[in-house]
Amino acid sequence: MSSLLLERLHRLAALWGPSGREYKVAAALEEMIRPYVDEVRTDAIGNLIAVKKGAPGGKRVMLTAHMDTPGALALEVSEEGLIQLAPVGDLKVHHLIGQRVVWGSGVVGVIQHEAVDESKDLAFRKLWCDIGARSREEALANVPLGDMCTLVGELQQMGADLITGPGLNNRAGCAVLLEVAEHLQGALHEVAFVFATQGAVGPRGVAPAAYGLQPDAAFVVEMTPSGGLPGGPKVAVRLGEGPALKLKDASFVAHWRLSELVRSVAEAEKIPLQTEINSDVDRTGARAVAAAGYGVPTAALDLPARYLGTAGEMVSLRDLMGAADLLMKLLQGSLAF
Amino acid sequence: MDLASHLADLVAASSITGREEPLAQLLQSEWAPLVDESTVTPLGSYIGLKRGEGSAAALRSLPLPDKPGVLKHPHARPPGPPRVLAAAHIDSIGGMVTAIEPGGFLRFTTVGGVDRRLLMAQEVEVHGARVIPGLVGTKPPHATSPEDRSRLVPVEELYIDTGLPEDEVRKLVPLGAPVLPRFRFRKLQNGRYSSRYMDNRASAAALRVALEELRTLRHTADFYAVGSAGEEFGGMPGAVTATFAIQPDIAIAVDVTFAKHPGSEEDSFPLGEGPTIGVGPNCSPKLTRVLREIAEDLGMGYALEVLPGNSGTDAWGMQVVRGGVATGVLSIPLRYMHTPVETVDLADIRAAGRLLAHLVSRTDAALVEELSCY
Amino acid sequence: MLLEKLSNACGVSGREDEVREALRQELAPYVDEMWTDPLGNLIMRKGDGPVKVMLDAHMDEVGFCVGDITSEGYLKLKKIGGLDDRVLPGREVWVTQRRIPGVLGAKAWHLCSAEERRKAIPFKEMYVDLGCRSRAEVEALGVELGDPVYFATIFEHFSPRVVKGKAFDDRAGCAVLGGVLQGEAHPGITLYAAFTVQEEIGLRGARVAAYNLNPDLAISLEGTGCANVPGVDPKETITNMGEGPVISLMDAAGIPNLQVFNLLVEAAREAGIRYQFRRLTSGGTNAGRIALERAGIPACTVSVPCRYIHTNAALLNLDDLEGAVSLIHHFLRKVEKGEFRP
Repeated sequence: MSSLLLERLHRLAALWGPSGREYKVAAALEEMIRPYVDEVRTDAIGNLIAVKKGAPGGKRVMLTAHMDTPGALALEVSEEGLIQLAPVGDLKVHHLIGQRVVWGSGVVGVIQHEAVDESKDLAFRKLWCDIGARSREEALANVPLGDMCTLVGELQQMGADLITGPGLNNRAGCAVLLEVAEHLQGALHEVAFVFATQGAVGPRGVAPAAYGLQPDAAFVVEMTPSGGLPGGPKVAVRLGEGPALKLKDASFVAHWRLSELVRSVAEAEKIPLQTEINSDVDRTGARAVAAAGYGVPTAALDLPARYLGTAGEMVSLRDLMGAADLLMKLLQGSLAF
Repeated sequence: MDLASHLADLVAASSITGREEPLAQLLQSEWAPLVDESTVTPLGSYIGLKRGEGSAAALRSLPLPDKPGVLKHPHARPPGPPRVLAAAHIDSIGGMVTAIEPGGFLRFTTVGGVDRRLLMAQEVEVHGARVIPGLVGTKPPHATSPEDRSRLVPVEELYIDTGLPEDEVRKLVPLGAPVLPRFRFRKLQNGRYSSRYMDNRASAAALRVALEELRTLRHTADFYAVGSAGEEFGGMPGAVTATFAIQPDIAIAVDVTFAKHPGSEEDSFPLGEGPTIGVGPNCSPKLTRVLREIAEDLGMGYALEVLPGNSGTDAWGMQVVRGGVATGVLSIPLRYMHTPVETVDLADIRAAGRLLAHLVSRTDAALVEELSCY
Repeated sequence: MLLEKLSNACGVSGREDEVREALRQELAPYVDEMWTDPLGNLIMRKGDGPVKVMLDAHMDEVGFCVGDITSEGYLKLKKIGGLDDRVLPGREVWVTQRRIPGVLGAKAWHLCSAEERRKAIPFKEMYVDLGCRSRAEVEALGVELGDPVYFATIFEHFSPRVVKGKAFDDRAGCAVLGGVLQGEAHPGITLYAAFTVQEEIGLRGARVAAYNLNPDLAISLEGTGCANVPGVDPKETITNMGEGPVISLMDAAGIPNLQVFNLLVEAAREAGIRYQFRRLTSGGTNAGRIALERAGIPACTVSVPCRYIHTNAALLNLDDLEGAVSLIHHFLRKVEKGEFRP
């Protein structure tokens, strides 16, 4: 396994980069991918697009993972210096209570909630972030209105394969793209690695990117909840059993023949691949990519994860490597579908 | 043309959302004599082009992607005669196999707005390596508590019983295999027919009628008959991307609407008295007026269908492609929507097709000009 | 006054004709060219400088259309856009641009059961009474299915600076845009004023306008919610009437481009214009949709606070409206100086 994968995950997950404020992550990703591609650019909505040229006769393929994480926006500040929040993405109220966050300005804060008697009375507007300021003026001097915060914490390895911490969704997807960029050799096809913006609130950034590239095929790498835990999501996908090929979710149906190609390559190369037909998951970027311009045949390769949207997200390094490996094998083939 | 028999062929084809290939291919072969050329788009939509008089339009000259970097598109309309697009979505709701369980029972999920009240004991077809008949299995009444009997079983608790042993099921049925209601095409009285998938094969049949009728009409406009993929679920990417490629001046969505039957109240229309013409923000007012005029000139019955927002058809997506398109909605009344016994009147299909053909015939540069003049 | 003319004009989503006409007449002297597109957007161009800026304000208002005409001569309505059922019964309406008068009838209080009196009247039970005795009489008036129905609200001043009218969402935005066009020229900019359609039913007109114009940046001008009124916690007022134009932090459709946002804030500060942020992130505006057109367009939203939007009558403070016009001018000057770097 590439030792750079772990290092990249640590670096990427630690970066502040909520939806609409991805510039720091984009800068780091640009630095990390530059040695492996021929051209890097940023578009008007902040997507980072890195292109590795192909050979004549090759197709144009888009590989995409959104680089933003969900968080919260500073909407107002009380007289006592407590910051009132609005959600950016789908973080749940109870996952934020007591959590440490970091703001774009670099300031650290803690999130708390008004005292309530019952959990049904929990509400986002009753949360606040305490940065230790003693007045409204002091708070605003450290966190301007419109700034955003994200969960902060070090990634921890658990055993040989699992890793946990905040920010894995979707930096793990970005790390997979970096793996492919680094190790892809001798591909016929032109590959555009698109690190997209506003995926946690979207899909948003990914649509103009697909429009601009008009690829012949696209693969979207995102995270999906894994099941098998009592009281957890009732889904078939399991952590550690390989990436999951998503055929359908709440708003998207994958391109069948492209998905069949993914399945057959996984089988031929003996890469464990799960099938995901999860009707509850929404917001996938694949839907927006497929509808761009003349239409793009799109497949969705998901990374199983536990506890998405919390400070303790969990992924399997083996699943990430499997996804990267599978994508590489696809790109090294004829991509006929 | 034997419309009933063509409709039966269309309904027999398997084409759930995301798996429209069999029907797209059927259209390519069945409609070949009626169009000048045809193709299937990357997302699986069928496009058939019938050129206007003197037109040199060709599908292969649809603008192709540019070199890497920024995709350039002209925003002025392309030169040449007016372009009329009519889209009838070719995908249908259905199911998809999600798991194979011990004993060979199949678990499935629904694709699109399937009426879940009708799933129990439904006869289905599973499209794997071959078409396999099955039944949606249920617990027998004596094993069901009184409370359970009035409760709808969630899809996750249903299963399909094919009667086959597990190892054979595993060989024949991949995960994601389409599940359809069993095909049966029933002739009722008075030119009415009942079957699965009249939503939206009735509209595809109407496009066929339009193509036939156009052989007898003069038209300078190019007509693009689109069998759009992906309407029932997933945001209409088929119609939207086909519209993007074709850059039409007019785009009409041909779909089905609710026909009156016992218990239907507002928003339903008589069966057999003609198609409905949409009025509302999703329908260009001038186009609505033109369609009404044509219907009246032809002595054709029709009803106005008030659509105050999203029409629930391909027109919603097509209207806002590129720099905007003048759209209309033409609908065929249908009873029992999204059930295996959808019922339509052939007369309504013929009328809709005829109206469409006459719209194409009526479309000229002056009308196109008028559509952007407000 | 432009706002008065626009507020009194009738234009539900899809039938913006009267508003379009009023804008054409009032603003023709100030612009270089005007045209409409297949959806009915009205686009005006002023200037031909190197930077292309699109300013959008939507012409449509929420309202109704005729869904059914009963045999007894009443109209059943369908809503166009989002409306709170509780503000509808007992209102006067106009049917079509001809302003055929009608009333939104409701069962007399005296005839209601105790339980009915406690609940809001469901929309399904509402109807419009034109005084007709049969369907034939309604049709003889020329009223058809799909015809638009409006609140019959006349614009007026409550005080020298506070005005009342219908459809301030988004005639206020249109008035701001009109004010910008009527003001100083910006030779370094090609200014596209896009008066757009069908915002209320899904942000539709602006996206096709943006596709066509392909600007370097865009600002949507809106009338936004404002609730500095009794019973509302100060931190939940969204915006405050009288405290200046509003710059959006984020809404349901989009997160403003950071550069455009920062430039707007700087422009306000440098010009000494009192401004505020919109303290609500739900509700979408055109800017979010414009941002995703083509290969992406930097966009943000500036609004005028309006109390009671999406009802039959709203209030706004002209100081806020004029502040918005001034803010845009200062912003455009900064763009001319090259301070926006794409």
